[in-house]
Amino acid sequence: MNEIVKSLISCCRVIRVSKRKSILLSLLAGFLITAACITPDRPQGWSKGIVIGDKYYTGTLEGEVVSLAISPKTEDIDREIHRYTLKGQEGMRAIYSDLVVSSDLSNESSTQVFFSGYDGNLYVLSEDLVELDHIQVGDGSPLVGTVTVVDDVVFLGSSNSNVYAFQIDRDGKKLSLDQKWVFSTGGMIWSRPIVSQNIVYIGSLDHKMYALDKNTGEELWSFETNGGIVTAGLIEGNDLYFGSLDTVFYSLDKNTGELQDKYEEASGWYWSDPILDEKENTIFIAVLDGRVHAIGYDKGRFSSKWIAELEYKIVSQLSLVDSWIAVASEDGSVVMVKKDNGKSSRRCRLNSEVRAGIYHYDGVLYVGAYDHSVRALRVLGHKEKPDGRFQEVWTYFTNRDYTQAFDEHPPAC
Amino acid sequence: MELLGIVWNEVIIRPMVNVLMIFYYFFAMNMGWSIIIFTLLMKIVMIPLTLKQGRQMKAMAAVQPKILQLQERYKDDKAKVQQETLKMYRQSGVNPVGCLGPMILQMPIFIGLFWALRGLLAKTPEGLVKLSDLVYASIPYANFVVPVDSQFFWMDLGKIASQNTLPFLMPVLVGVSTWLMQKMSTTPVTTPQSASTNRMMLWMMPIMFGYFTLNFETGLALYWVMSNIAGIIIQGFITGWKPLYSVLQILRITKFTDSEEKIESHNNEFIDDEELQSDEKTTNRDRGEEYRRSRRDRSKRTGRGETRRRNKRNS
Repeated sequence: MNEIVKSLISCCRVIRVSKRKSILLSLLAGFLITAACITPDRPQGWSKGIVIGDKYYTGTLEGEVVSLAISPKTEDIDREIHRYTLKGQEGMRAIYSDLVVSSDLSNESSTQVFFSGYDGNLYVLSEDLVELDHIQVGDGSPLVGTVTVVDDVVFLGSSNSNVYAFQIDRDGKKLSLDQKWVFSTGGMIWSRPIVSQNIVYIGSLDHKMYALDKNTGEELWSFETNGGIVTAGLIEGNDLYFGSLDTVFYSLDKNTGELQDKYEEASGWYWSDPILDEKENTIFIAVLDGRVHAIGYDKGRFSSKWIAELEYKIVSQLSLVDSWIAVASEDGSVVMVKKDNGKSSRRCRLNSEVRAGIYHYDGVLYVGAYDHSVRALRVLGHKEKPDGRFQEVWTYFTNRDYTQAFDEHPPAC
Repeated sequence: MELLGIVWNEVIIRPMVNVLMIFYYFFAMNMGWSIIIFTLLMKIVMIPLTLKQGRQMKAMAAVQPKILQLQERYKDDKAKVQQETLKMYRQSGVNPVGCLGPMILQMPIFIGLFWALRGLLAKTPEGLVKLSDLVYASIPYANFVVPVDSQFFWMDLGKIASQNTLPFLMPVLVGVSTWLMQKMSTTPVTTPQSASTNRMMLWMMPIMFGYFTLNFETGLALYWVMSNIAGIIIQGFITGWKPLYSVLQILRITKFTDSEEKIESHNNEFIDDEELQSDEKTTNRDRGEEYRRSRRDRSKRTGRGETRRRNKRNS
């Protein structure tokens, strides 16, 4: 760098700029370079929401959780019902975790929303977004992976390399979380744990997929791949399926961790979770290189069905809608891909990056975009004969007044 | 603009990221060593450029007094001054815009490395997703090392220096190494104006870069320090080690035995009293020796010594 400044000064001298001016120019150049280079690498988050009753709950880019009326009485004005702000400090308030619902086992009418925050806290909110409990997980390292709640136990992984299990203790309306066990891996954990029978399966960025005893956290087996694991596993029959950053999709025996097959057709990282179509014995998974793969499986063996190319990176999780798969890519387009042949329908361009997963509920797709909007897109012909087209039902901007924003952002599709 | 971005990514950032990842894979899975090896490699590749730049700057410094004379001579005719100056440059083999060459080449490398390191040492999920764009799918090693471990001794190379453990250490190291580099690469000056510029740069640049380091990722500071150290060594081989010796002398790390070199040293104004006294003693000792030698010679010539010794024996 000092060579650069020296050259600049000597150049200034050659073109007969005075000494003082040349030094000032060099300083200015230095500051400009610094200013150009320094842009804070702040977490923003992407959270897939959920519908409970007549409300859609989702995490926002402002580090908050909002509940939105699906069909408000007064059109669009009363869309937002409740809002909850994360407890962490500014700059760390981001939500990557999907919102997960769990009911009181003894009282099913009482529903709670569970999610983890990048600020290192695990949150439990009521339906009205009133905090029931929040607990710092471990040393407060960022939490990226979605939580899993099974039998009143919350399982989650942390960026401090540990897997945690928290017991939910309910006492009337009160609720508290107590750490049950902790298991250490060799790398950050950003994936969602899945539970099958008495085993918790979770992938780590140390390249390993772990199988842990659900009650004690004891390691049953682990399987090492060549890349970090961000996707959640998928259990079907006796098999565990998951993708890795080494661009390979694996099939393991879920009880022993023995490798059964590998799918090596992808050329990008597996990032989002796979989805399963049990009827067709097909796994659909998006890859960061902008392709969606349909992988047939039969007793742990893979076969390639089709590969759909969508040009742009796909971080968002796919969603099954009747005979279609809804896909959102980073260029801001939402597209429906035919389940049986991979052909895509007309795109709906949201004009903003989409990384949050698509949530499908009753013929409507809910998706959050990087322009702070939450969009509801109705699938046309849902239940009768969906043809892959959709129509924007409503848009809500979580960071500003709705009516004002509506003028700037007319419906996308 | 979009095309420029693509070219920038494909020509500068992506190759850098992938080379750093391969180094990381092959050198103990350690980002610090990867940066160090990468820096040394870059320095070696740039040696011809460094030499060329040195030659240009030397030639330019040599031409300065003549240009001053020209300016004096054609005080009232600016066009003539310009014309004659260009002529002078041409005659002396100085390319007036040639000095831009090294800068144009080094600037993208430096800024590119900044972005490459930022992409590689990403901490957030967004950062890691972005990194996927930079990794060559055809190089399997690159996929195997993600996410890279940014720990290097006590430092987290992904954090900005001011947020790291020992926050001021890297800025100080950058400042000191820049100062040394500056000292080593200062060309001999012929005009008071150039001397003052050199003095100003000697102190201004370390302070400026030390300050910048506070706000940059520690990985980049490590690159800076290593680049300076390598630069000092290369410069030492090209122009000699005298400036470094003089610095060491100031720090009293080394003492010269050769008094002549000491006298000739262009930094003798920094030699403290004690050293001057020891110099004086050496000089006096020398003078005494010389005096005794000359007397011996004279006595040999005149034969006085022999007569005196013979008389002594007889008595």
